[in-house]
Amino acid sequence: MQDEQIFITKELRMRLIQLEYKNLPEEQLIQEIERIYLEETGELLPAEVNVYTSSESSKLKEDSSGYDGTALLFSSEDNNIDEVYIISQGSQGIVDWSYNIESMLAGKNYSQAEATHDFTVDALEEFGITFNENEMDQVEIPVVGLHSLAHNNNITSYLLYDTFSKVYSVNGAQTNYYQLFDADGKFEKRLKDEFPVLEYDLDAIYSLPPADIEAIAKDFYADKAKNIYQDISIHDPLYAISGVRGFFTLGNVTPHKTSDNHQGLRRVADKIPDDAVVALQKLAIDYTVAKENGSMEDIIKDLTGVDMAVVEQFDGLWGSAKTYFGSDFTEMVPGVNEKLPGLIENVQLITGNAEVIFDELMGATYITKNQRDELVEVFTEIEKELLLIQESFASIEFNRSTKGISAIGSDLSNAGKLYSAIQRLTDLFGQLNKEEYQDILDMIVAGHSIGEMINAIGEGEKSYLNGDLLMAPSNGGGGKDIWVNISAALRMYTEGKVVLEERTEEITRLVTTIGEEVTQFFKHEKKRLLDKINDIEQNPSAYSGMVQEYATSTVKGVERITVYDVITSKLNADHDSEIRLLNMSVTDGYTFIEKYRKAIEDMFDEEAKIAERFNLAEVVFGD
Amino acid sequence: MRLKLVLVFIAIIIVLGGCQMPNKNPSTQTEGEQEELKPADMDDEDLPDVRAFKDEFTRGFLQSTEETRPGYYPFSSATGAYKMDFPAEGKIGEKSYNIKNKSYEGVSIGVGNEQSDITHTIKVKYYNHLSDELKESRLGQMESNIGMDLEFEEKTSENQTLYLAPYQHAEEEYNKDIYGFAALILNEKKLGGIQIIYTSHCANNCGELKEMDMKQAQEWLKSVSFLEGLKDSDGNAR
Repeated sequence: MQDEQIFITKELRMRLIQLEYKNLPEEQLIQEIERIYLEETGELLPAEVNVYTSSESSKLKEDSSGYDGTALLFSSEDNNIDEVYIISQGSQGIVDWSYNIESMLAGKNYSQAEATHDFTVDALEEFGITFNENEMDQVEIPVVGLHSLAHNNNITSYLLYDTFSKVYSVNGAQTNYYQLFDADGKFEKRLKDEFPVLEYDLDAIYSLPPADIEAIAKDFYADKAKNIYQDISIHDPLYAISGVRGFFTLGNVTPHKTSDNHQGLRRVADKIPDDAVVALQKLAIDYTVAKENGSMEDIIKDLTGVDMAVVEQFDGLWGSAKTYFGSDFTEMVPGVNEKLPGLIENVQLITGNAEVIFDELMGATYITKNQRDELVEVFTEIEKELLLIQESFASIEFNRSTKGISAIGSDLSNAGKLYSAIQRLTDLFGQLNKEEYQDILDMIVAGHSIGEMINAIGEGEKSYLNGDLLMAPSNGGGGKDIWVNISAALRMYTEGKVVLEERTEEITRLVTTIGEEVTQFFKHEKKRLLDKINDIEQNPSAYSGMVQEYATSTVKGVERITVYDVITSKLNADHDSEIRLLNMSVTDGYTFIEKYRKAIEDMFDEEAKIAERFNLAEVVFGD
Repeated sequence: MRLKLVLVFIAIIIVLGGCQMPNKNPSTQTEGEQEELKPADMDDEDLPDVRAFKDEFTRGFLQSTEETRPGYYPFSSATGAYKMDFPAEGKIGEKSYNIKNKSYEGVSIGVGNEQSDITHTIKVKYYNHLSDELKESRLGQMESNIGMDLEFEEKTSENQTLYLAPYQHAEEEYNKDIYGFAALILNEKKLGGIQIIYTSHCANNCGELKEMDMKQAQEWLKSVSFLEGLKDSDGNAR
């Protein structure tokens, strides 16, 4: 099988991944792919593009894993090109977040990896490629998996089912050997050979030495690792947590420093116990997901299961009694029992390690001393309130179900406690919600973005801004801080030309209109006038009434009327000068655009192929 | 205070008179006339002295302490979608257990102990979106999982279609004699299917024991069945 030829540079791959997130309609997506290819290579895309998305896939119609992806087929008989790219989308919606947290940190549920495989199989069929599903590694053409956060899906799918011939990722969620033990029967048997206890006790894997398992895993997947390529930002929070037990990095990995502000969180995370890192991550994600749902009340309900609207009814004696016996409270019980213990466990993991966590964050200059102190305090308080909520809740529930009405006295005081604890919890969450903490969170999340990464990869010659390609002039302009927005330049050139062409067309139409409408109308009117004059001169008596109007005495008869007419052969309005001016503005426009193009071209050496880019852009987008 | 409380008490009785107090645990109610205590709610001494009941997590899935047949107890999926016989010496891997709403459930069971001649790992995965269309893809995935080409035999009954393929690894491949089967069961009444990979690891007396073991495994497979038409734990008809 030959290597792929189209999306071979990292920049191209990353821009393609970024493009997929935009969910463009097919036609626009293809145009953008052509544009990106031209901008990056200075050449025309040498192949036809076919698009197939997971939303079109009948196999995934009922799929509930949350998988989202796009398949692209590039084909050209003339250029001997035939290659498929599967772009799996990273975390977007809430379904994805919860999947990712589950699979990455807990090492289980690989349903999105299965969906990745199902989708790829479906896409290859759709594209009319012949292959044997059981021998995906024998597919004749390159099938490349591209993705960011979805690395975990694609790689798991590849390791399990040979879905791809090559896997490429940016800031991917790493693969997890606990997950692979569950998912890959061959790896499972290899481990059982070494540790027979796993045959009858699957949980035993968590008590085996992680280093041994990792070594076996790396050895077991060594062949496939050769086809895995990863670019990882050391500022990516996902990279920070990939030191957690279970994760291991496979393939050819290139680390990048994508920001000068911090050294990244990996060192921080490595010093914090694994389960606290997991708890922190889980809490951050659950909180983010809950926040997407809305108000502080929603957040509290999502995290604890406690419905504020119900708790607020514990206001005053009569209200409390009503709530106490009402069905609202009963309905709340299962949710609280399901959510609260897990939340408390996670918060306790954080408070139990609060000193390490927040000292390390401070040491890495993510937070200040004051913020450190505040965060330690807030988490300690949150734990206290959560325990109080759990306690009063449990006693209400217990009394209601066992003692019934007789316990109401003590329970109303519990209800009061529950009410005020919830109030205080709301305030504490409010403190975490402050802008300064949101900014830190945003900065950490930015470390995961492709934007930061693609800039780091340009190595001083290329840079990217909102998806536009910027290039550093070859003959410098005196310093490295000058960047030319090539995407914008090409846009201005092609779109500017389109505008000028439209203007030329308008001018031609104007000239035609003047010719057709004004000149014809003039001729028509002139003829009408002359006809009338003829009529007057030939039938003078018929116009005696008209002569009478201008005569002082009574006109008895008219023998002859002679009309003295002077009709200029030319129109009074001469449009030629206006037309000339309009035409000149177009010429000026062209001159300006060409000068601009020349100026940009002059900033670069010939090897930069800037002129080719302008020429080709005009061919592809200039209509 | 006391008087006020009494007044409230009376008022409540008037307002709520006749209303039933909510049941502590609605899920313990069974559909049968007799309310039977689930193993999860029983005292330890009332439980059979086997591994499946000793493990608290596993116990939560078992519906009764009465054997369905010798050596097996009734298991019901937390999705409410299917049931099967559960081996007395089995234990569900708690950490790898995964459920997602009612759309997916993965149960991995380890059977046996250090002294067993043959140990088993049974992996049962339920998906609510599986259909005939995904059949080939999923059979292929199971072949990848086991690591060999398989010949699936199709057996259709009224409610479900079974695709079954036994397998046997070459002697030199692993330390133990490893064999078993892969099965895909598709629900014919609605969307949904179960993928099963049954693995036996035989250490001793394999020539003697293997045939019996495989027979037993296939017999067990017959116990896996969809609960179509019954009610789920929320009491909704499925």
